[in-house]
Amino acid sequence: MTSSMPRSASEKRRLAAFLAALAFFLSAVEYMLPRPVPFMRVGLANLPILFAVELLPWGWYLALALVKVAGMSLLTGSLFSYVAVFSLAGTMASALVMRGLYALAGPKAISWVGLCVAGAVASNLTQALLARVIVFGESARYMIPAFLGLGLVSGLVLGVFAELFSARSAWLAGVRGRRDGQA
Amino acid sequence: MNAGPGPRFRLKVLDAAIILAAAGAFAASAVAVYGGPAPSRAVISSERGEWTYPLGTDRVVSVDGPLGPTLVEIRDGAAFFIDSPCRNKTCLSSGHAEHAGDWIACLPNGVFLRVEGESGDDQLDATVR
Repeated sequence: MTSSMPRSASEKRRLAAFLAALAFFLSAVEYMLPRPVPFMRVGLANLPILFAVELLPWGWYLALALVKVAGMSLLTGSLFSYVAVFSLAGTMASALVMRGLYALAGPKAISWVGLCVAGAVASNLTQALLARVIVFGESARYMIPAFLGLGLVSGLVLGVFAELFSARSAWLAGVRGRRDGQA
Repeated sequence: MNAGPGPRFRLKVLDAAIILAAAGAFAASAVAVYGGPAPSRAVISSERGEWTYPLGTDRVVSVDGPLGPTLVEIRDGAAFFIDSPCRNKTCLSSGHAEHAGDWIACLPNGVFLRVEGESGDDQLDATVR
């Protein structure tokens, strides 16, 4: 993982649009995957947000997270239900934690694996907290072990995949290369 | 240009700290939730209240949520959802709750089922909280 930001406004716009489309596509893929455990998601649609941590500035980054929530809610038919509030809260918590950790620690102190695990756990805990406040009350504490465990496992899987992808991706190398060429 | 650490990447200090913290929190919460006494009762809650039923008595319970009635069956020491007015029916595919700490939730209809350990009122037929 390295620090890379596109310089021109048009490049930022194109990159944000591409990552948003990718998030939409991965949401559709994830929706089709069978789940061994209800509530379990690998979090494929979070991959564009993860890479955007180093590729997009804050404004575009948060816009990408919002588009991902809207896309996933459209696909699952939950856009106008309070289920979408859970998706929004979880995604924003994850996005803010990953971006905040990256900003504070930098790529030399943390890898995609740490960012992924922290983001997944933050997302799941936020949703469990929201479930306690909005829907299930005190009973929601029973969800916490499962949500923590699933967040840890899915974060590790996605983080390792991101590391392997990052090392081999010609696209990512190209984006970073354009940045380096312009710097 | 640095294209990343490659397939032989090594965890960094903060990665290890985050993973250990998450694993520790998982273990502590699992002990708190699953480490209780043997399972003996199903507790069903919705926006209308909370009801407790012994797992030893077979029955079907209807619980009203904002979308309509959710049906929960208690049979052979386990509790599970058998019908729900929600769209995705995730709760119906959640399997059986039979161990202390097991739970099944229907988020759209706001119905939560959990299994708890023994308590003083387990000899009662059903209780409302």
